[in-house]
Amino acid sequence: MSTKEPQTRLRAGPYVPPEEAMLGCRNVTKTFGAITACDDVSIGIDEGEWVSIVGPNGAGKTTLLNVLNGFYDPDTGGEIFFDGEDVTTDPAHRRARKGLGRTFQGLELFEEEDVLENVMTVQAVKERPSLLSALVFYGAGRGIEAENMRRVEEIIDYLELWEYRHSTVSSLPLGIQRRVDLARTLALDPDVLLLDEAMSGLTFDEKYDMVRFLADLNEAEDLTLVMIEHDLEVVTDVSGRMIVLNKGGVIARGTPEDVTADPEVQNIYTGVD
Amino acid sequence: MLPNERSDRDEPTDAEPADAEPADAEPTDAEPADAEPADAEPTDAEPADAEPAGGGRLMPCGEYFTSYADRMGLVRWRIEKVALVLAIPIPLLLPLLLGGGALSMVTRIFIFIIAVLGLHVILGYAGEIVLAQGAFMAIGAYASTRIVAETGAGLIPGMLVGGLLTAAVAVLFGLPSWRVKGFYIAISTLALQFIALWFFENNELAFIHGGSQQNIPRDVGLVGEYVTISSATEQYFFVFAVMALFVLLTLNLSRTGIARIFRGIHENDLSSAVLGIDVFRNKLLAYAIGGFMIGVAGSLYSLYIGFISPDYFTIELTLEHYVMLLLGGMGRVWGVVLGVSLVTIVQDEIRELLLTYAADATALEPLFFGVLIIVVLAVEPKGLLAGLGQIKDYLRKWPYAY
Repeated sequence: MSTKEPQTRLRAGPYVPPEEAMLGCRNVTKTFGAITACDDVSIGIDEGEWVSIVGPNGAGKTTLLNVLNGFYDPDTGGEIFFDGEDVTTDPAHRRARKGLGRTFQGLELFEEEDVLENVMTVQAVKERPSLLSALVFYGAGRGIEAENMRRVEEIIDYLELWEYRHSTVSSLPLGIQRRVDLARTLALDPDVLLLDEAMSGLTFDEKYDMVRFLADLNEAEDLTLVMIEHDLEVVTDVSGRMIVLNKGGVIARGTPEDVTADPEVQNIYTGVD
Repeated sequence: MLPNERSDRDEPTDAEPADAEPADAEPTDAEPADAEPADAEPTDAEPADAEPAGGGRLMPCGEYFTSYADRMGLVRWRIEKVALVLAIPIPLLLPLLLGGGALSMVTRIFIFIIAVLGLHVILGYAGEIVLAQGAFMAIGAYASTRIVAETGAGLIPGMLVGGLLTAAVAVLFGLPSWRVKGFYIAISTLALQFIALWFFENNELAFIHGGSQQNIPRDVGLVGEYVTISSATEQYFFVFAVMALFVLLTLNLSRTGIARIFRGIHENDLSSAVLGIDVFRNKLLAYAIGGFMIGVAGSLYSLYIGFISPDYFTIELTLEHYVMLLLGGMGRVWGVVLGVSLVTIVQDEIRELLLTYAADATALEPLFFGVLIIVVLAVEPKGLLAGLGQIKDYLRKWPYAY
């Protein structure tokens, strides 16, 4: 356990030791049978950073995200840190309540419900009446619900989702659904947001909107963003730092300029040259 | 706290798009003072504003609430207030209007509403298939009977104990939901159904359940010896009060975070967990709430029949309640009320018809409901209430398609 960069292949670039980082992991390996999805990955993401994780298909990006947010347990020896705290044994829901938000590549929305209900559900996780006050409703329960609704309307306002408020989520276009997913996660009031291909399948305008919201959250709220993204143009435009994965391991990390100039990355990831 | 928070809008503005419409649609018609509905307080007395301004205006549409608490109200629209005022006397007058048989049927409807509401919390909200309705009701019935007969504590303590015991058993059999879901949890509760029947049929276990077949003590007080319930009318009012209470409690539950979390688990347990919901704990909570209600319904049912025997709590009862729930529509309290009422009334009619014309064709009744449920699931899987909602939507938008 040293604080030096754990892998020799690492290129130059800011590296925060996982224990001191907002979100970090050390020596995370995740195998599924004979397949090694993550191979001894250590990363550290500082507060307020906007980090993109890139890599070809099957590089282990989503697995890494799943391990970070507690959806998978890492193989023995791996450690996860959130806000300086060892959260390796915490299940996903506890990490979420501590402020680790996440969106899904496959959009796991509450599809049969409307936008308002989707966001309200997550808001209820944050601020939920006790069973008794929920059953009695009048009094404390109503106060909590009203406050939740106010806060949810704020989020809906912020993400410009007014007109879809009462639309069933499954009937909405993909771009809006991704925004609903973001809204839902924001209701958790997260400190770190893990975005799993939040922009895949979106049109240029929708991507632009998404980046606008994320940039705003990142700058004004100091929300730490970790994003898996295939669109290199977006990645190099917005993120302060990139982590490149290939075959489960980190092959490069650093500023977008450094990383994209790296010949190995160009070779493996973009396939150019 | 979000960046760019808009401080100019403290008030809820639920009808934003609808509000903006009058200004957009008829810009010439709108006077400047009225033409800025989107930003100025749109929630404030819109209908009153729009009407005196001149004939030929667009009708106000949308929701106009001035506080979030109002928006969550159960009785929000004028038509609902009128309906409520008109509906309140009905159950109070029913004993005067109906004969003994019909009143008894209504009492049964009320009891089953409680039971199906319990099922609805577990299945409709949390999405867990439970096939032990009969067992849960039996536990409630036997437990409350034992309490009433042996301690003389009265009906309400008996009901509470019955409900709590049922909740405990429901949670116990909900424990496998930690690992398994859907179909498999249904099998685990189906096992409970058969275990429970065996348990209550077995007279050697009478030291626990007090005897397989028992008469319910007559003229018992609600608490101790006070306020005895003896006549059918008194029973009706007592059951009505309990039913109304549970309907209100379920409605309250449905508009608070707890039911939202249940529905979230139902819709997508994976993302629920990732969004901070303790799925297992909340499933058990749903089992406990639902089990309690079904248990209370069971003890009321035993009071209603005046006699308990395992024969009343078979798997048929479970299936009957599923027909009621699916017909009315899962996920809505009023759907339950509608489903239970309709099925019970139709069932009674069919039984009478069969008695008159074909006393031997006993299979026709389950056959009818079997076919009915297939038709409902094929035509409108969300049940009658959702179907009615679609008709309402259609009429509201007519002659436009959307």
